[in-house]
Amino acid sequence: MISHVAYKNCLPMTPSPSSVDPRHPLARLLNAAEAHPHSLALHNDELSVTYEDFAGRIMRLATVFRRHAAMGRVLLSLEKGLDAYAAPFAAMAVRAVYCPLNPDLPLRRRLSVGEAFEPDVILTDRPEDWEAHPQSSRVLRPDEVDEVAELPEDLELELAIDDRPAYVIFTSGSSGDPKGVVIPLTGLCHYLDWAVPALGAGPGSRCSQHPNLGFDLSVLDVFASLCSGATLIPLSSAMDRMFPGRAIERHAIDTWVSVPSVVDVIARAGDLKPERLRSLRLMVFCGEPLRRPHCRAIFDNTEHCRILNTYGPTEATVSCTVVEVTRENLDDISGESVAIGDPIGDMSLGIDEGDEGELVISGPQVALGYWRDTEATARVFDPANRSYRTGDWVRRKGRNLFVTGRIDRQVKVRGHRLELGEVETRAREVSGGRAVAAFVRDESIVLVVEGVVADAAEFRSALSDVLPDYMLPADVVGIAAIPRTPNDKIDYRSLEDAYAR
Amino acid sequence: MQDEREAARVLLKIAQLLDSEVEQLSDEDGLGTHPGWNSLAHVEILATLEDECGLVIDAESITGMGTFGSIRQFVENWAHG
Repeated sequence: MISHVAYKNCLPMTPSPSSVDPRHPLARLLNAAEAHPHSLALHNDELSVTYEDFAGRIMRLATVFRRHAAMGRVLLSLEKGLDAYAAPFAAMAVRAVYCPLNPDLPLRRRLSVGEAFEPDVILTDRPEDWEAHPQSSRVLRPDEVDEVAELPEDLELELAIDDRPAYVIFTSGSSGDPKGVVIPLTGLCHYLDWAVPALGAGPGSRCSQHPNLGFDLSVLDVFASLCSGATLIPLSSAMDRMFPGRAIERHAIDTWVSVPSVVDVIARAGDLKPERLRSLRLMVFCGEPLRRPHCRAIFDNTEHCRILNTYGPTEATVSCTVVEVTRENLDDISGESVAIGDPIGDMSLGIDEGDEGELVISGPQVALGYWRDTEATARVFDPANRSYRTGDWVRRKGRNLFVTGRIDRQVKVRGHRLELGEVETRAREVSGGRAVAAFVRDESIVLVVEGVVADAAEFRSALSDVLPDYMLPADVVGIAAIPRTPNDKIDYRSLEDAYAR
Repeated sequence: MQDEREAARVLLKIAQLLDSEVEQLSDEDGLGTHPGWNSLAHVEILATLEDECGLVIDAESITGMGTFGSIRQFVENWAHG
């Protein structure tokens, strides 16, 4: 169904319901803007943008994209400012596919994504970084947009939902080359059908924006907040990023979205206390295993805060399962980590063999494939069944499904097949819940433990009570802080480099 | 004497957070230049200085306490203050 809506002079006008699919992200946003034009869409120390102004900025950007990238490609490498949030909607307005790229990544990495994506337009705060860019992309700074775009009287918007790519997010491939995951608009809309009511945000609600914009978890907080009329609070200052517990208090955040390890950061800053977390109403976790101590810590320090655990690979649009964790069910749904819950909407989960094996996801949120890489796509995607092999190893126990590790973290050490994730789970228990990471070096296991390891031999001996000999680490070393990727996941590559012989 | 002991105690705590010893840390070691001193360790260092010495954590102190030298200076001023 092709539909059109005219948008006059950047003042929101009612999109006629018969001609616009109300599930389209931009239709949702425009409806929120029309209903609550003076509510804040974005708010932090540097930003204060009403929905009316936000919608206006989208239209301004859309006129630029229409001229230079209609039905084309837009690369967004922006700090967490107005355009970083408005530009994805603007790209969708002209049916362009956008690629959000974390501006803090090393330059070489950003340039290699640019080379792979071949954008028509690059919108960036740092145009000088892209000067050497070999392609014929038009590089624009946000403040140049106003000069480029004369606002037209009317802007015809097509707000139909189809399988056209909505965004491409590049993740690191095992070969070292970035791999672009292509998410269709149908997938994004299916996700929002779950996400918007699940966050239950709306006018008056204040939702955190913690993940970097090149990490697809940001799709959850950005779209679920802005499509519902809530206020999105970009956490961009050093203070807000390093002290998330204080950010919650300072900005009166009620809805929180992040990886679970942020709870550890809050704890280490000494901020795991009721006066910091009082405003919280909901915390949604994704991206890595949520653990029982994380949940206990939240329940112990909040009164009315609900917790949702979600799971999903980028290849299935942010997340595709959910379970609500309560004080009552926490023990029942916790194994080594909290269970991942049930599939959302029309998504379904399968294990390739029996009760334990590789998790296969199918349904409308499954990506179209990897950007311009038919070989890699064919290895893990099955278009006939709209399914994706996750590479995640799962185990079913009763009603609960647990992710126990990565298939590619199954290693062979001196003839024994073992799961590095299991070594880490036991080591975490022995260490009293500290962050740990295990990897293989020269045919033996190295275990890195966050904090001081006073007696490595003693630690190893405690492990020998719970692990078979062939799974015992040859070396146990303490580290002040385990290195993490920009998405806050353990950075195994840099650990391996740091401890290479 | 009492003041110096207090300063030494806090600096020892900071060094321990970095899995190091006071004598091993130079004034130039800091966020991003010392192997264990990443943003998470920095959060703990700032929280410790807040607890022990009443440091006000804000944008200024986050960068201001970015090296062991500036922390040593701050802790010594506090102990003698």
